[in-house]
Amino acid sequence: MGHPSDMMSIATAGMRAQSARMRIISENLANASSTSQEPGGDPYRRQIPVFENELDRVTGVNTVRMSDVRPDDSDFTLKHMPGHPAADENGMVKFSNVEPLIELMDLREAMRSYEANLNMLENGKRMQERTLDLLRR
Amino acid sequence: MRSDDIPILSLLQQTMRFQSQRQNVVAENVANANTPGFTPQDVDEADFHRALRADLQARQASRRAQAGGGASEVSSTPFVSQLQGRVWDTQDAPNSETTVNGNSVVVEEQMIQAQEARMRYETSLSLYQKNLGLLRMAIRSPGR
Repeated sequence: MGHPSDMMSIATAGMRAQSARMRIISENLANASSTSQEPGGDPYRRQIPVFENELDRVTGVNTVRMSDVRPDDSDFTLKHMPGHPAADENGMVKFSNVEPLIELMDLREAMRSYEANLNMLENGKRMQERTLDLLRR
Repeated sequence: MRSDDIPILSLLQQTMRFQSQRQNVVAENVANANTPGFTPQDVDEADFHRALRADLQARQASRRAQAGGGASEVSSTPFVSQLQGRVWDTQDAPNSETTVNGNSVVVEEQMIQAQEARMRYETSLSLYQKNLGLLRMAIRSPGR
């Protein structure tokens, strides 16, 4: 049955997933120029959130959740900085594979999806309110 | 006598239920707007209209049968609508674009669908309210 409160729980699940994604993106951005602690070591690796369609067994509706966070296997950026504490014997320092521009685009998309979910929530709320108005008179 | 014994109220109720389910389906699509491989769903509107028409015809037939049976058989079995509590089937309805990860939800198109469903829902709701008002007016004792 299509009940407006189901719609609200779906929209909430969507918003939760998108804000988890925004959290991962801000982690990536914050660590965009992190290097390793020891010479020649690996720096921060970019994380990618993975969404999954999930069936809510109680209400029987299809919600969404962030099922997994996977590391991005692309190569690290190498820079020649002999004086850097994390430089290896050749003077190369590995910087994280986070691309701030891509992260910002992802952030925009996440915000847009979040707002779309918010819109649906608003919609469901209005429909329920208007229906409840039947009782008022 | 229940409120859905009145054909118009029952019709409006069914429409509201249908649009509400549709709204739910759209909410699912929007929530999964970034899920890889997800295809948006939509409820089958043509199927709904067919079922509604069939229901109306069955209702009329039942009323005719009751009227033909004479006044003594007014208490014969009341009409039970087949639409009561029915969940409408959903089907794949991919939007105009599919992204690289196989997701074919376009949020803008879903927003339009949501608004459309809400407008239809609210139209039915207003009509329902008006009809209840008419009933109320009929119930009121004269001169008050």
